[in-house]
Amino acid sequence: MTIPTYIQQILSAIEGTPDELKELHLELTDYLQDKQSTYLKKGLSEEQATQQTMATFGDPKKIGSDLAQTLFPQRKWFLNLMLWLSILSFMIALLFSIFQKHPTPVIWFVLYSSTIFLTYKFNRQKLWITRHRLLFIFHCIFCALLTWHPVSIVQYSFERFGYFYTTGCLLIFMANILLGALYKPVQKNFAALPSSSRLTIILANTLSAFVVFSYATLILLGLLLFGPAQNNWLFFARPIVCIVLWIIGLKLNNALSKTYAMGILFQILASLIAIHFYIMISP
Amino acid sequence: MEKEMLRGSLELLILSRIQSNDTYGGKILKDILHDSHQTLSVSEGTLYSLLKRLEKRNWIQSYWGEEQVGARRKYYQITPKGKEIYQRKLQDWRLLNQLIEQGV
Repeated sequence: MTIPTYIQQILSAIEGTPDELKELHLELTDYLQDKQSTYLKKGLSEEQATQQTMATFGDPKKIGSDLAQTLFPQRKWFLNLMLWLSILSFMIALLFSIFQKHPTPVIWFVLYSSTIFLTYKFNRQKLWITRHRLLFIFHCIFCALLTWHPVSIVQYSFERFGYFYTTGCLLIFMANILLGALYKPVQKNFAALPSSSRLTIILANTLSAFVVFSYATLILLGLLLFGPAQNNWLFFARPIVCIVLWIIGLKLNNALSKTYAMGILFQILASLIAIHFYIMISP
Repeated sequence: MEKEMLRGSLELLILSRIQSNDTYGGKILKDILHDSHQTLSVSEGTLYSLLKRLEKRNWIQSYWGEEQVGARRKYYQITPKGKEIYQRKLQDWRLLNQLIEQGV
């Protein structure tokens, strides 16, 4: 193993911002190369000096895990919770298949196993979360959707359990999505903001997205189920206006650190319009 | 030295190397290991993680040096909070040391 691959092994366990990872890379390279040249001066061959340098620095997986725990402790707790919930869902489906004669199709077990495996891999290689943030978000949403299956099996026997289980799962999967945005933002402008402002923006983005997209999905479903309304183009223009306003808000939130208040105003406006028109169409 | 015994003292050990002068990460680790004559049963990587933990707790802070030759280095300096904690930990350590010496 070479020193660059050794450093890569350490960094693969860490979920950091690109700047944090770059700084860690520079610092570790400087230290390890310095150490290697000390061993070379003592008369060791290049291969021996490299091996000795890595041996004295320690196990890269353990160091990576320690650094990850230091830099972002919350991630490990929530990823572990997500892993245990996926295992619990798998166990519920399995136990009900065996004892309650409630057979679960094999495809569900395949889906559970792949989500458990992927969550485990994200836990071990947290750098993946930084590099494939969108994949991680989809993974969390998919895991949250999967929990509806064990709930649908259990609800006949334990109605209240299903309610708490779904709510708990949803909160944990949402927390996993939001934690990265809050503590390890990829965008530089966003990273420069204080954590209280970041929290405000994330909450505004999430809540307004929930309101606006719920309204837009409702209209879309109506269009698919009942077809377009006669001479009422305004009916379909409204959700588009809401989404456009929401996207402008999102862009303003991300563009410059000073424009985020304006961005939040746009998102509040989009949400209020969506709520207003939702009330108008509701019976 | 036993790991259990070391665990509580490592933070104090690192702070003691930074409290008077700003210095870069590699030098802190090198000095500690050199002065210990290889008697510390702790890897350099563990000491490095600990250095980062102290930075995260805001006991020390870092800045990039302005080297003209070679790679840029990250320097560490103790913060007012770190100084306060260092003094407290040092007092505790001295008291404990004194009690042990009295017993011996």
